[in-house]
Amino acid sequence: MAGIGFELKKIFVNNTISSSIKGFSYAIFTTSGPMIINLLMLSIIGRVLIKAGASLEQRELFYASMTYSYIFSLLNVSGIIMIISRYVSDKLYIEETKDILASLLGSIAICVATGGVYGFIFYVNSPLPFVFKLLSYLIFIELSVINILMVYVSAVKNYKKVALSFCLGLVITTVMAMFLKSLQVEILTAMLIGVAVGFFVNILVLLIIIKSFFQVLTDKTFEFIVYLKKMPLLFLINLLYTGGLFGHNIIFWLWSDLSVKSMGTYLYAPSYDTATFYSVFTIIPSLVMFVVKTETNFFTKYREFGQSIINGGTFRDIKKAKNSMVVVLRNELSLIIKLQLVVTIISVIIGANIILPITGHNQVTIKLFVLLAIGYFMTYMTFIVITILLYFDNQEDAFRTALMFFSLTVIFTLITIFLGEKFYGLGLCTAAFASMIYGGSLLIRTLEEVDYRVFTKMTYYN
Amino acid sequence: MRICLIAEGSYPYVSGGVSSWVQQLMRSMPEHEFSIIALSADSTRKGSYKYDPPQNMVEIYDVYIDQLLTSQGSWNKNINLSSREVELIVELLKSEVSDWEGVFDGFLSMQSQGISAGDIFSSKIFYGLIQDVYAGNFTHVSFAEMLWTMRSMYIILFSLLLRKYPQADIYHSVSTGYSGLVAAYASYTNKKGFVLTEHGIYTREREEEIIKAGWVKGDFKSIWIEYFECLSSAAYQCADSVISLFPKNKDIQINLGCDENKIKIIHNGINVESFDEVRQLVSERSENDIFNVGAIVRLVPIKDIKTMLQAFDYVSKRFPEIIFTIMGPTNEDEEYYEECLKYKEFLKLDSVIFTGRVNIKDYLGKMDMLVLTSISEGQPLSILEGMACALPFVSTNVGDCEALIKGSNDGYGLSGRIANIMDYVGIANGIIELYQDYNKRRQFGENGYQRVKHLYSADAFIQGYKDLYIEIGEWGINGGNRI
Repeated sequence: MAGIGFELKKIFVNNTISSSIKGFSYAIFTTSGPMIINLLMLSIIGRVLIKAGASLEQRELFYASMTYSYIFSLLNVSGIIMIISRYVSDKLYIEETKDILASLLGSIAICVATGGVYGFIFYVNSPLPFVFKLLSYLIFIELSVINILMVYVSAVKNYKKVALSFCLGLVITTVMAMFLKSLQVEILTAMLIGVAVGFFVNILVLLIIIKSFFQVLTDKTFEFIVYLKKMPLLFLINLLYTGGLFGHNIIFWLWSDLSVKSMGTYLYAPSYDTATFYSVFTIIPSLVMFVVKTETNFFTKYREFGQSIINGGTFRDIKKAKNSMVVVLRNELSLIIKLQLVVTIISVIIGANIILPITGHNQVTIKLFVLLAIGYFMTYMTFIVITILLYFDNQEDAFRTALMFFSLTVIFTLITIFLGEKFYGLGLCTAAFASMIYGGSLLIRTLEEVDYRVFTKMTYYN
Repeated sequence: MRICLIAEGSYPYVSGGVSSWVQQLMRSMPEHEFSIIALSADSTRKGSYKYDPPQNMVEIYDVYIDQLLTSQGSWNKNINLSSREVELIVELLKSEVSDWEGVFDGFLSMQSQGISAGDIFSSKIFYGLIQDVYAGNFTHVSFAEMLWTMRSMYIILFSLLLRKYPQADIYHSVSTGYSGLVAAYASYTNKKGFVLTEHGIYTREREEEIIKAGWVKGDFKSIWIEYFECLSSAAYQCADSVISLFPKNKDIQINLGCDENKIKIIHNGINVESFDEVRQLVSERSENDIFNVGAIVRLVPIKDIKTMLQAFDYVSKRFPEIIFTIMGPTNEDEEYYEECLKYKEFLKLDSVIFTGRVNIKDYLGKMDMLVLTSISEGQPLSILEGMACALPFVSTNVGDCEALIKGSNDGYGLSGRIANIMDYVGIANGIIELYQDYNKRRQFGENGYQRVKHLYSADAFIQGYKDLYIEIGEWGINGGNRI
């Protein structure tokens, strides 16, 4: 859904520094709100905890709880998100928007139910205090809901309000946490309540935005399930991709010698996780650029290609539109790769030599950061390839790419653990590289035969 | 022997001349078994037969064209074709087939690979071929439209050639077109004889439809017409014997590329004696009775009921005492029937009665004359039936109607009047002439009766086909060796 990208693009038109910063920040929130908000909360509340004199153990418990909530909420909804986002964009396309709001309720219901099961299994035997478990569980569910809301938000195209809702959530979290702390509430509890309330407000505002846009509520709450039956691959594609995205962390928690257990509940690998945290930051420029530039420029040509078919173009017209689409896509992709390559190199140099040493991180973390930053760069390129493949409804090849990414990440990460510390971090790196190349080759083939695909599969442009 | 009759859009789902003919043929040959391959457009009519199948009819094998259209294939399936087979498919797509047996062999080979029509349409090889055909003839038209047009045409043809048909000793198609193609294919694959009887001229009928059809755009009209001509060429090329109902059609068939030596003429025939009672009633009608004009027609556009109503209106304005009775099923094209009712309303024609489907023998005895206003006909049974009742006719000049009514120098004289198609004044004047001259209409009726009795008897008709079946059947027993 390139819709919101076109809206965001308008901000950048002025070409001034302030408009660029404005556009950039809006873009971050509307495209990756949950991720950014988590990274920010971890940083802000981390500072607060240190200032308040919380023990290292307490701080790690907080990090672990937040990280688990974030990662598992994504895993919880990743499959269904793909299904509803296809459902919503189809409904928008045929201009039958009245059933969209109902599907939001349906998908939330499903994810709250599955999340409930996972949460219960995870926390039932944990020795953590009940209040802590309850709050962590709530945050996990809230994040699941926010991830679903993001699908609908991108259809609404009101990036200002969306960014505002996240900022509001963040402010309320901080205020609430401070307020409770001043009431002498136990520090971790105070922080978690703050987060839970902040997310809750966040959800409410997003809901209001969506509700005021779609307005009508029909009883077709679970109609989108048909899509799951019709296109199970879509579900699997995102599940596998998300699985690979976090699989290497989970494997490190489970089986590496970097792993520790917090309060008999959360397994984690401090140096690996910290390195992950910083390397995720490095791909934000691509994230924004893809939505604002790559996808929108491509989409314009993609639509022209579609129009050339629908509007009765001759074979020459169609070929011309196809070639121009392929050229634009090729240029845009090579541009985003170059940009991210530069960003990654600079980040790695600055991060490894200045930021990480200053913030007191050890050599293991620094080396992992370098490798994971490269790994995330290629991971995101793999994601872009999958996204473009899905524009051409090539679910099979998108699935192949996602499956490869997931399996190689798991296998290679296991191998690096087996090979020893020197190889840590190479798992994601090599897996993402191989998947990017593989997916890229599938994309090239798809583009070559795109007209054949359109005319013989009849699943889109109709 | 088992004879497999192949019918498109007629027996047993649609009543009419061809269907009645099929029923008559089967009933008259209890010594043979019959099976039917019924090609119909509408799968929702499944099982609703308009005829009681006779004892010797052993099977109805249904093929629904609407279901063929939605055939789905697996995408990008690998299809192995020799370069010769590819060439033949290209000829097919260009509607220029010279070697149908080669085409059939190609499809047999694809059938053995388990390939469906949907598979072909979603294969790379087909997409390439379509581009070649496009580059050759169509570069100025919308590629998408050309592709969908080709698809909707050939998915039917391909589907028909990718299935197995019931075994029989003779395949007898009652028209060219899809049924002719199926008969050609079944007779080729099962190595049995193939008889073709053509009532109307399929290619001409489709051509008229397409020229009038709003859903076919200009550029594509010629593609469709060539497609149907190509389909019919399969039947003309492969049939062992081609039967024409009358000489005019024989000439058209020769023009369409059928070998003259294959063509025989067998008239339709009816059992004249079975109309004796009705004829008696007709002969008792006096000059002072209310004058009744009848029409034995299905309410469908090809019968041009609107022109008939216009003619009746013309007559009615001058002679309001005349009653018009239109006898025939109204449910075959209900939209058209509604239009006719509205038109009748508009003309304020209270003297016109639509009876719906009836036993015509209950009605013909009260008639004084009959009318037919079709824009296309073969050798209509309704005229033969009317003549068997000694009723005079006014008919449009289509198919064999002129020869039936004027006689081709057979010495029996006139049995009615002929008008041009859509010429409602001509038709009306024919009616008025017969209305005003009692003796003339009696004479015309008698002339018709003599003609049908001597030239169009059921016995001659049945004997003709009996002999033909023996001849072609023996050919099949000898292994289908044509040398």
